[in-house]
Amino acid sequence: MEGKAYELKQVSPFVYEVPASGKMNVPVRIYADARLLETIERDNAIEQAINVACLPGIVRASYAMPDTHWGYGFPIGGVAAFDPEAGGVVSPGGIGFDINCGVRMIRTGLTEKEVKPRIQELVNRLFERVPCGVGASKAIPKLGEKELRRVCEQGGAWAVANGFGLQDDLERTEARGALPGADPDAITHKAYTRGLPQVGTLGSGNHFLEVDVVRKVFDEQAAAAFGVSEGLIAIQIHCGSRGFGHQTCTDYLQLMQDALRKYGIQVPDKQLACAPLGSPEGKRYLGAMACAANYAWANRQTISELTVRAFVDVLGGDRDSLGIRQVYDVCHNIAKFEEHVVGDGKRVLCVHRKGATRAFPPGHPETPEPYRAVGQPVLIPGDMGTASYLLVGTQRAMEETWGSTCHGAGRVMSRHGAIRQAKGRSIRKELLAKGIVVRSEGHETLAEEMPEAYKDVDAVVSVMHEAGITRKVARLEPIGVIKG
Amino acid sequence: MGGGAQERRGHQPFEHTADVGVRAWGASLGELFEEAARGLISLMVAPETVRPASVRTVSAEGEEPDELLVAWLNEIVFAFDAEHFAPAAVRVVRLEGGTVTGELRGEELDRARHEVRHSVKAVTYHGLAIREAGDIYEVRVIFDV
Repeated sequence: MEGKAYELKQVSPFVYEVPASGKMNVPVRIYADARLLETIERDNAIEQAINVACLPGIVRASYAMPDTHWGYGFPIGGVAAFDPEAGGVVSPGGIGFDINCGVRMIRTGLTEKEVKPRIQELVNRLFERVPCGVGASKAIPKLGEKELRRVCEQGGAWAVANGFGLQDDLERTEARGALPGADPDAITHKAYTRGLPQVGTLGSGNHFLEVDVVRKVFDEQAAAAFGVSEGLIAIQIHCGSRGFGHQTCTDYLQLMQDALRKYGIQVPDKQLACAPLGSPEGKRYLGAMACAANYAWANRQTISELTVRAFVDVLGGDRDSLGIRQVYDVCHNIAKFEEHVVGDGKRVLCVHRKGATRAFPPGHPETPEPYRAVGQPVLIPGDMGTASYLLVGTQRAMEETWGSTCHGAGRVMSRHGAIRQAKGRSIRKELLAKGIVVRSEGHETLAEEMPEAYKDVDAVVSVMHEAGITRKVARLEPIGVIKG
Repeated sequence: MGGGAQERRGHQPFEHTADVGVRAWGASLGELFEEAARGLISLMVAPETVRPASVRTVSAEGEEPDELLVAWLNEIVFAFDAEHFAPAAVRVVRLEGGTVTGELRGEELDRARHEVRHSVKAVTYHGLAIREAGDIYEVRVIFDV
C-alpha cells in the first residue's frame, strides 16, 4: 500500500475530514471511531471518496459511513448528493450493480420458545419455498416481457396485485415499493432476459433470509411503534434486483463512457462515468434505475409472501394468528430525488446512496404514518453469525448526512482469504454450536460469508448512534438462515 | 519472465475484499481476451465438470480495448446468468477494430453435475488497465459477485 496522499483530520468525536484540495469540489467526511478508521484506511475507500468529491455539482461533502470499503468508483458505504441546477450528475457507479439491494424486516407474535424446537423444519421449508443460489429461477409461473414491464412500473404493487402480500406491506416500504418515473423502454432486451426467470429468487453471495430473535430493546417507544419486543421472532430478507439490475448497471456504465466523452467530463476512474442530471443519458439511466429498483421491491414482496407461506406450512394458523406484519423495507443502493435544506433554502437534490440507508426523521411525510411520531425504521443486517440492528432516523441525520446512515457490517476479508481461513472448519457446524441453523446452496458460500470476514456490526452501529444520526431501537440475533 | 510457450499466457485469481479478481496475460490481445475469459469461467464454474457439448457464438463491441474487454467478458456473464449456458472452453475467433467474436463450448447449466462457484453479477472497470510488459499483454479484472 502506497503512502497516504491525503490529509485527514478529526472534526468531531466521530467525524473525520479530508479537506477539499486540488480537484476536490467538496471535502470528504467519514463517520468512524479510531479503530474502524484504521480498517477503513487499509483499502482504497478514502481515495475513492476523494474521487467522488471531484464530481460536478456535488453538494457539501462526499460522505463515507463507518462500514465503508472500496467498491466500483464510489466506495461502498458512500453518500453523495448532486444539484440538478448546478451541473450535478448521476452516476450508475454511485448506486451499484445491485440496484435496490435492500432489506426487509417482518415482525411476528411468535416467541423463541415456540419456534426454536421447529427451527430446522422451518429452515428446510424456507429453503424449499424460496429459490436461491446460482441459476435459481422460476419461483412463480413464467412471466413474459409484457408482464415484466408492469413489474418495472408497479414494483411491490405488482406483487400485491398478484396475490403476494398486502397493501399494508407497501405502506411500510420505502417509496411504497415503487419509484416514480420508471421507463420500461430504457431497459435492454438483455436485462429483460436475465430478469424474467428471477423474480422471487434470493440470489447468492451475501444475500440471505433469516429467522431472528429480538434479543434486546434499547428504545421502548420506538420498538412499540415498530411492533417489536424482546423474545419475539422477526424475519429479515436481504436481496436486490438480481440479474435484471446487474445487467442494467452494466448497460448504462457502457452508455455513460460515451456520455463522458460527449459532455467533456473528466473523471479519475472509469467507474465514475456519469452524465448531467438533465441530459437524455442521465434521464434514461434514472428511468432504467427506477425499473430495476421496482423489480427489487416486487422481488422482496414476493419472497416475503413465500416466507409467510412457509411459516404457515410449518407452524399452522395464518398471518393474523402468527402476528405477522411488516416492520419496514429499505434500499441501500439507490439514487433518490429528495428535498433538503441547503444553506438558507431548500433544494431538490439527487442523493446517491451506495451501501448506505435512508434514515428520515419523525414528522417527515415519507416516514410511514404509524411511525411518524417516532421516525423512519432503519434496518442494518450484520453477518449471519452475530447480530442485526433495528434503528430509527433522526433530525440530525437530515441535517448532517442527507438523512442517511450505514447499511451493514461491511467486509474486511477477501472471499479467497475467508475460504483459506475456513479450511478444515465446518462453518455450518460452528454456527450450529452457536444455536444457528443454516442451509446454503453454494459450496463455498458459508466460508466466504463467515463472521470473521466482516467488520463488527456493533461497532459500526454504535458510531452512528453516538453521532446522533440513527438511534438504536433493537438488536436481533439469528437462529435460522438460508443462503444461496 | 522466461520459459516456454506455457508461461507466456495464463490466468490466475487474485484477492479482493468484497469480490473476486482475475489476472490474465498473453502474447497478443487475442490471447489476453481468451485468458481473461478462461479466468472468468473458472470463477463461475469448474470447467472440468462441464462437457463441451455445444457451441455458442459470442461477440462484443467497444471503442477502446478496455471497454471491448469488459463488453466481451460481460457477454460471457450474460450467457451464464440469462441463458444458463455453462462454458467449459472459450476461443477468440476474431479481434480487430472495435469488435471481438468468439466461441464458447459448453452445455446447459446442471447444478447436480457442475461444480458451481460464484454468481458473477457483472464485470467492473475497477483498476482495469491493459498493460504491455515487454511483449506480453497483461490485465487485472475485478468481478462483482
